[in-house]
Amino acid sequence: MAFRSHPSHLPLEADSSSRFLPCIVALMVALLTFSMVGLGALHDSVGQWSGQIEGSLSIQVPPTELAKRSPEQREAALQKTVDTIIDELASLPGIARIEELSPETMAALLEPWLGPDEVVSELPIPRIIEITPETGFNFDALERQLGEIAPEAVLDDHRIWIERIADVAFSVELALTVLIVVLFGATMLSIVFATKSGFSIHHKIIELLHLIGAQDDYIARQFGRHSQRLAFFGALVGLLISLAVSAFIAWLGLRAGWPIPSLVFSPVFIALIVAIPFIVALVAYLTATRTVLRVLRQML
Amino acid sequence: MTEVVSFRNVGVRYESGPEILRDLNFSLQRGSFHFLTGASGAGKSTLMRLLYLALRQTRGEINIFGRDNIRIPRDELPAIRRRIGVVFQDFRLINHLSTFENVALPLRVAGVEDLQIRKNVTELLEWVGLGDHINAQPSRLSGGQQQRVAIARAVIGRPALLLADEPTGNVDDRIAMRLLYLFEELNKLGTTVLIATHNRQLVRRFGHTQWLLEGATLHDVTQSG
Repeated sequence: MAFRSHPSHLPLEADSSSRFLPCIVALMVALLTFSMVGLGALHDSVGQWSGQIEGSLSIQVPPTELAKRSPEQREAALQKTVDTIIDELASLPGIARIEELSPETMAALLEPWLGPDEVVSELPIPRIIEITPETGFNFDALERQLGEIAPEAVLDDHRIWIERIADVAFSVELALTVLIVVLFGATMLSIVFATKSGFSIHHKIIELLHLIGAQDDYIARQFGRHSQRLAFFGALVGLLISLAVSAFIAWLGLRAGWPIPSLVFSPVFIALIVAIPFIVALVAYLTATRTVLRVLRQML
Repeated sequence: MTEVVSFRNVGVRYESGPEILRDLNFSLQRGSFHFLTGASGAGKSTLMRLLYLALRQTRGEINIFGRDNIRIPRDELPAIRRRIGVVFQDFRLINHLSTFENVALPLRVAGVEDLQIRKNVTELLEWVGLGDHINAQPSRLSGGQQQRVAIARAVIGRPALLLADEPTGNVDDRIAMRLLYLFEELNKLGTTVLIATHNRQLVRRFGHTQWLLEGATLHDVTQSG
């Protein structure tokens, strides 16, 4: 005689929540994952932009004081100021590299506006000194010492840009974090509502199980495992969809020359993304069992 | 004889309505067989619900298996319910489960081993004449067959108390007689049986105690039946 492996005692697979719940969870998890990947990529990009800007301070030495001198005298005086600045500042802590932008580089940078003529070398063009800071860099000390060496020199620190980028990035990161929390909450609520709806649909069967001596935990586990299974399946589908979409966008981005976001490929982030279906399944199980237990306790 | 159930001055009312049951005083002795009759709406099902612990009285005292029903801790109720077999008026079979799984349900919730479940359920289904329908869904069975599945499920755990609410309501007299003989067999094995029915003609053919629920109170009509 053939016996089937014993199925679930509750016909939960047959109700509408069995189709509805995975779809809702898949959608929520897709949005959640997509937001997380977006947040990671944004965080990385902001870090890289800031790093690039922070990593290239520049000092502008204008020839305004020397305008009435001959070009030779002017250049010699400017060169002397530049050399003094480089010599004095190189000894400061936190400066990895300090060097003057070469005349050839300057000429190349100005070529689009002034042309390739010799005239460039005759104009009173400011000299540029590039500084690459490192750990221990003290902006205030640099600014103070530069003021003593050459008061006419201008230190361009890009701080206003960094602050603006940081403000924008912080706002976007905050909005995405709130979105992630809201999506996570919405996913959990949908599981709670689907479970409650399942309970009302199968109230008679649950009452039967209750009356033939089933412990509350036994009935709650039936709902818990059912919700867990559906939520895990939905979360897996949602995760795969969002990763596929993210990969496609990343491919387009790479083609457009965007930087590769390192945070998104970090082990912690990947572990977090992979953990999503398991976290959702666990929360679904706990939510379902607690909901059912709460309702069962209203019975005698 | 030992008292399986005893009622003392029991009354039931729903919210602020009139009493559905009033001043019930009776006991069910171990191994006894009773019929409970009464018109529709007389309170038979309410009395049954009190007995299978789905409802609590609003006054009076009910002792079941020697324990005051009000004082039984909630986590001990499932174990007591497993000693009570119930045949519901509407059968309450689970349609997506096979005959076998429906009957096996009380054993599964009690945590009985699979091997034991197979042996006991198969034997019982053969005994009630459903050996050929072991894998059938309830929806493919006739009314009488569904009733036998419900009875098999009620007795599979060898309950000390068997309650049947209108078990002959949906079958013809021939099958009804067969079911009552089945209950008698169980009773001979020591099970206390209480059958609620409005079919007094059928009840008269058996020589057991007959109670009548009328005017919210219980009357012993065995002699006058």
